Amino acid sequence: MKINRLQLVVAFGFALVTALIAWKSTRAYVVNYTWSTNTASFTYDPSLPTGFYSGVSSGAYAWNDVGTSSWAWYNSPSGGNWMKYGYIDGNGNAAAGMTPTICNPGGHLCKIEIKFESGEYWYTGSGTPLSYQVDLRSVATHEFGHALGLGHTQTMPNCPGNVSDATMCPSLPAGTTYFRSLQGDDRLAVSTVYP
Amino acid sequence: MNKRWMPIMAVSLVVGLSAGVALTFSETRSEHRADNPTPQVVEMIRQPIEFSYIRLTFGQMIEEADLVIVGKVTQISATQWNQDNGEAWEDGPSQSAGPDDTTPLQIHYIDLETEQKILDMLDSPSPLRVTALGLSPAEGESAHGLKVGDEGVFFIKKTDLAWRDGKRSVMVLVGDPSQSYLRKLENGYYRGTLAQTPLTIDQIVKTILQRRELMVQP
Repeated sequence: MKINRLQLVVAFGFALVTALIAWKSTRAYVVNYTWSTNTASFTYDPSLPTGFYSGVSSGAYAWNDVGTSSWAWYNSPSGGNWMKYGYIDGNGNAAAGMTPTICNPGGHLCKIEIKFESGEYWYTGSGTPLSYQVDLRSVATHEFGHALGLGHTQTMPNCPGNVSDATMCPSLPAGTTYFRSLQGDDRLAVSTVYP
Repeated sequence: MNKRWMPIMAVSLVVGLSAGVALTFSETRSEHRADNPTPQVVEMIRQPIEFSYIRLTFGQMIEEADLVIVGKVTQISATQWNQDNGEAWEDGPSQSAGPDDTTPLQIHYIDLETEQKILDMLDSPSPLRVTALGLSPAEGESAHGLKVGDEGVFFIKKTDLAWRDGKRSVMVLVGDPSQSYLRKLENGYYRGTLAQTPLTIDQIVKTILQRRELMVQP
């Protein structure tokens, strides 16, 4: 079969576009910072109700269970990465916030703090929340993703607003548990940054 | 398409997919971190706070709002912190059990000029000032994605915001800020992430008033 120059150019262009689409479609996660190690601790602040401990640790450990990543969160009574509970802006807006600190020289994450909004109607169990309750395990998993240095996932097609939402999508409906389980994009992120 | 093209396109597809996978893995390798030896002088720099938000349905947003306006963004302030002088501050670990309400936050202000009030439970002024959490678009990626000159239908509510010396009553965008407004399109219709079908202002007003009417029925 004889191939002319035009066919070669078209084939090359097609291959290039396909390559770009294949590359981009594999990732939507955002990396803002990284730790210089593959492990970090978290510590319960006195403000955090003891009823939150199980949900918060569950959110942390969700990131430890990615087979292709060596990352490990662990709980320490004196680590300095505080898990706090207090007021931000009341019910129905921000459910939690994570404050990262980087250290120079190096420019890596060296301290994080997570605060859970005391104005929310939290569900702290492992079952199904009521329609108006915010699932602590979901929010904690999301916040520990931020604490790994991940930003919010680019919204489409990874955040359609249903059970297939990536954990690092920007927002979670009350009464749902979507963010408890990491999705492909979340696993790819932690595996890439902390292999 | 000429049959002669088929094998060429098939080969190109395979080559393209292989190249995509190869690019992905090469990026994986390039993102490995360098070891960070213990520095002698350590400078600690706090970075922008990452928030997670509650996502509301369009109906919930209508129910939650104290104020719905058709308006225009006239000004967005620089980022400041939640105390009167706007300077950065921080707190340490709590000293006792119970909620820790001293929460340092980065905030900025969005000024909106009101063109039409669809719902107003606040007797709001115009221009009106909305407080938003996080970085201003002047300094980074904001949670709301608005810029000066944007026009739309904005869903707003009154709430208390953590302030250094207590709480401050403010107006905020309802729920997830990126979903709390319908942006005006060039053709005059309005569209948002929760109402992706473009709507006319009459349709929006009718939907809001019907929903609010249902709320007050016994």
